[in-house]
This record gives sequence, structure tokens and C-alpha cells, in this order.
Amino acid sequence: MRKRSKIARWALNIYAGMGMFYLFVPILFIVAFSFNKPRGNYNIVWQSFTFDNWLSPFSERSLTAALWVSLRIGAVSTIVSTILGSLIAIALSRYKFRGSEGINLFLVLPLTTPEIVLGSSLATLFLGQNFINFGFVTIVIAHIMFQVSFVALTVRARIRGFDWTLEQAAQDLGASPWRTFWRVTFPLILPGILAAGLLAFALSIDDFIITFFNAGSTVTFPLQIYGAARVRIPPQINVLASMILFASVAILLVGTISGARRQASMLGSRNTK
Amino acid sequence: MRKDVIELDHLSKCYGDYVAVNDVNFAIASGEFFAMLGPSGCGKTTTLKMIAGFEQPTSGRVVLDGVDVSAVPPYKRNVNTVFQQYVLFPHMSVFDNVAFGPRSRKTKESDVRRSVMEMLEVVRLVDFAPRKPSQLSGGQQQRVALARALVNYPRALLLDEPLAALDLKLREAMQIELKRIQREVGISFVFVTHDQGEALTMSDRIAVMSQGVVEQIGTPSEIYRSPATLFVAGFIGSANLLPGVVTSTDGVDLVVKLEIGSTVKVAKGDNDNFVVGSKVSVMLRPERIRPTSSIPANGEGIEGILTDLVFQGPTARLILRLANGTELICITDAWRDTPVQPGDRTSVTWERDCGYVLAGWPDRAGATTTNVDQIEAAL
Repeated sequence: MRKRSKIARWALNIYAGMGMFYLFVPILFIVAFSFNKPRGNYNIVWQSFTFDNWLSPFSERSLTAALWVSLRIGAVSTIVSTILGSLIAIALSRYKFRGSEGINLFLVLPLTTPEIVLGSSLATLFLGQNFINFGFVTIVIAHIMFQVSFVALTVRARIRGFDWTLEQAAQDLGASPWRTFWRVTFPLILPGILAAGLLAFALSIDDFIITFFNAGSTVTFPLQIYGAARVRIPPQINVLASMILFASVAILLVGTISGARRQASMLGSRNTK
Repeated sequence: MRKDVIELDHLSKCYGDYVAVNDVNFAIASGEFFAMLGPSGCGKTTTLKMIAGFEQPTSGRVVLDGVDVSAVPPYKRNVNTVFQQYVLFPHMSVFDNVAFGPRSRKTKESDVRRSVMEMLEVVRLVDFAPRKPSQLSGGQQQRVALARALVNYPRALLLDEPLAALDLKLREAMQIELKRIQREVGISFVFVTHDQGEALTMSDRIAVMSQGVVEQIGTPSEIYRSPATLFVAGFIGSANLLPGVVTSTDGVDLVVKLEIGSTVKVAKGDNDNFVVGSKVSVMLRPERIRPTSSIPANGEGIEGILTDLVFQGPTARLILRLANGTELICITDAWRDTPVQPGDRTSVTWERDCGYVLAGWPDRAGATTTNVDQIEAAL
């Protein structure tokens, strides 16, 4: 009996390891090939190890320019969508009002609608008016549209169970609604808002389909890679992609560690009581 | 002349068709410890929230220091609340929690420091100033909540079941602590509770509420000795309520023919509304009646069978079953020998002024409760 359970545990571990391997191989591949010295235009066959690519990560000027565009679009759209989405989330979890269920549906809609539909219908919308040309602004608007849903749903999930009587307590102590929000509500829900903002930023940097329909002549990082891939795949793509990967892993680590530390200090103090 | 801090003027609150608070009128004096007592859903918390400003009255006025504040938002009212679950700010230290009020009023930081430390001194938590609320026990959190409210020197402190979340031992300690703090700072306390023992122990005056209506306002002893309604009689302490009809009156005493058959004479008290034929209830507090083997000729009494006798230390508790099944409860001095044993035919008797007459008939005749803890708490 014991032996069998031991075997079962081993089998489970191997199975889990295989799952992890399956998930991580493409990522490892990207990082590994950033150290490759390709022969010709395509960085897809391993030749030899080099640091050259990492020493000149921005040598591909159009690629670097595209990354810069993506970062700017991501920054603007994330700020706007995080503010709007958080406000929606606060309103939805704090107040029960007529139509709040309907708003729920509207929030889920952009997540469930195929991106190709969203992208093409947005393009039709922009085509039908004469105020904005396709480009930076239309991409930002398109990104905000789907980011708001993600932010609102994420923030709402994080502040579920938030004790709104804290706001009453603050007002009872003489704090205006403005002071109540900035001193009590905002600091307490900030971790949820930051998490939602990171998610929104990642979605913006990553988006291809919706951007493709609404970009005009503006080229974002994913669009640049897609377009260039037909002609050449320089190793700098892997370098820049690895940088983005490392940056997001670093942010994730900082968040997890500080969260764990906060929890540990709370638990520790509870135990000493 | 006594000065009123809070005045509730024909205050009502409706939620749709449901009347939560129905035409409540009373005034709370400066420095008074005032309790609103009633079962859950009686409107006491809603009344408190209207005083604090979290609820708007449907009609009527809340007057604070002579000024109608009914439309004034909570942050502009000079009253503070201690919430049932304390609601301390979890991301702030004890010091910052207490300093929140003074800082909201843009007090100079050096003054903030001084008044916060003073108030932490009053609640005996000076050493805990740098801690987070999550590092404190329930009783300590309770005291932080108190300090956070009192540091603003409000005209009145509103307390919404502040002791309900504490265990029994701590609750008793905090009752004494609350009284001490109230005397020390001299601020009016308005205290909401469903625990009659708590209200009787701590309050100068009590408003007993039921279904949105104030049934009676008075000192603890007034309410216990001369309840205005059957509800108050049953809710405060324990009472034997016997329905009957007035058969004659001579200005001092009422003669009441009880439902169980016997006729008793009861002092009329202050109430002049009873005439021959009035439906009344005779209230007998359990500690005001005596068991006896036979009714003395000059006294009043009721006959039954002793079903239960429990020795409880200082007192003994007897339960008597009358002919029609009504149960009476009687509490006696445990040092005096009881003349009867369970199973014996037993009578209870009382002095002429120990009975009390109330208008109306109770839902259930006999003892309102036979629960020992509740009786002990009431005594």
C-alpha cells in the first residue's frame, strides 16, 4: 500500500514536471536564441553562442522604434483604462443600483467577443468618421476598450469583501469624502489596482489582432515582428522579448515577496499574542 | 438647568413600506450615559445612524446643541461613533488611527501628538501606539476605537453594540472601563445594546424600543420596577405575567380576577387608567414572591404545584405549575429554608405592594423566561 502510494506520487511529480516543461520550453527557446549567432537572415537554427546580440540590443532601428511605440501606447492606455476600470469596480462593489447587473454583462462582453470581430468593427467605426486618422490615437482607444474590462473585473475581484464601513468610520471622524478616499479607500485597494494595471499593460504590449485593424501606418512591436518575419528574423527580437520577459518576472517577484512578507509579519504578530 | 445635547424630534425612518423607526422623541442631556435597548430589528441602530448622519430621517429632526443637523453630512457633525466591529483602519498604526480625526480637522501636528498620547493614556494603550490593529486583541482594538472617537472631544459619543464582539469576561471588564472613561471625559454616551443586563448596569437612563417605537424611557430602576408596557416588563429581567380583569377599584387598590380563577388585590400605583372591566396583567417579579405551604389570611396568593427547585448559591429558583399549566418562577434567598419540596402543593404569596398592574394581556401567561442566565443578569 505504502509502496503503491510512493509510486503514485512519483508518477504525479513526473506528470507535473512534464506539464511545466511543456509550458516553459517556448520561453526557454526565446531566451536561448537571444544568444545565438545566426547565419543569414533567420535566427531559427542554432549555430554558436555569442553575447553580441545582448551588447547591441537596439541595433535593429525599426524594431527598437516599434518597441518604443508599443511602450508609449501601453503607458497611455494603461493609465486611462486603470483609472476608468477601477472607478467602475468601486462603483459596482460599493453600490447596488438599477442596471448594475447589465453593466456586468457589458464588462464580460469584450472578453468573450472574438478579437477579430472587435478589431474589425472598431475599424469600421473609425472609418465612418472624419475626426481621427488611424494611428497612435486609434490604437490607444482600441486598447483602452478591452483593458477597461480586464481592469474592472480584476479590481472588483480584489476588493470583494472590502469593508465599506471603513469609509463611514473615516467620515464619522470628520474626513471629507475626498480625504476619505485618498487616506482610507485608495491605500487599501491600491494593490488590486496595481495588479490590474500590470495586467492591462501586458495586454496592450501583447495585442496583435485588434491593433492590426486599427493601426494605420503606425507600427507596434508585435506588428513589426510579424511584418519583418517574412524577410528576416534578427536575434534582437529575442533579446528585446527576453528583456520584456525578465522585466515582468522581476515585477512579479517583487510583488509576491513583498506580499508574502506583509502576510508573514501579520501572522507572526498574531502568533505572539 | 440641565442642557440637552441631542434632541430627537418626531424622528421616523421608513424603508419602502417598512417602518424602521416610528416617531421617536427624546433628549439626551450633557454628560449622560444613555442606552437604547431592544431586540434586534427594533430600530435602535437605525436611530443611532440617523444621529451620526449615516441615515437620513424620512421625517422629523435631529437636533444637536440646538441646531437642526438632519441634512448635515456625518463629517460635519460633532458626534463620533464606536462601531460594533471597531472598523479600525488596518493600514495605519494605532497612533495614526487615533490621530485621524484631529488631522482631518487640520490640527497642528504637535497638538495632534499631544492629544493622541493623552487619549491613549486614558484607554491605557500608550505602549501600543506603533502597532497595527491586527496585532491587538479584541479588547485592545475596542479601546483604540474608543480613543479614536474620544480624541475629537465630540458632543456625544455613539456606541453601536460595542461590547457584542467580546467574550463574557472581557465584556464585564469593558463595562466598568467604559463607565470610568465616560466619567473621566464627561462626554454624553449614547449606547445601543440588546443586552438588558448591560443597559441596567451602565446607563443613567434607558430608552426601551420595540418595532421602531420607544416603549419607555427612564432610569434603570424605574424601568425595572414600573415598566410602562407588557413588552418592557418581559424584556427587562424576568416577570410573571398573569392576565385578568379588574372587578373593582377603591382608589388605592385594584381587585383583579385572574384568568387562572383566583382573585387578587394589587396596589394601583400611578396608573389611573384602569376601570372595572379593564383587561390587565398582574406582574410579579420572581424575587418579590415567596413560596409557602398555605396562603396567609391577610396576604395575596396563588396556588399550584412545585415542579422544580434549583439551588444556585445565593438564591434558589423555584418553578411552580398552576392548575391551567401556567408556569410561575420564584427566586428566594437560599439561606432561608424552603417550606416545600418538588411535587408538593405550594402557594406563592406576596406583600400588598409587590404586585404591579399593566394594561393588556400577554401573548403567553406566566413567567416570561425561565432561563437562569437571563435572570441572573437582570439581578
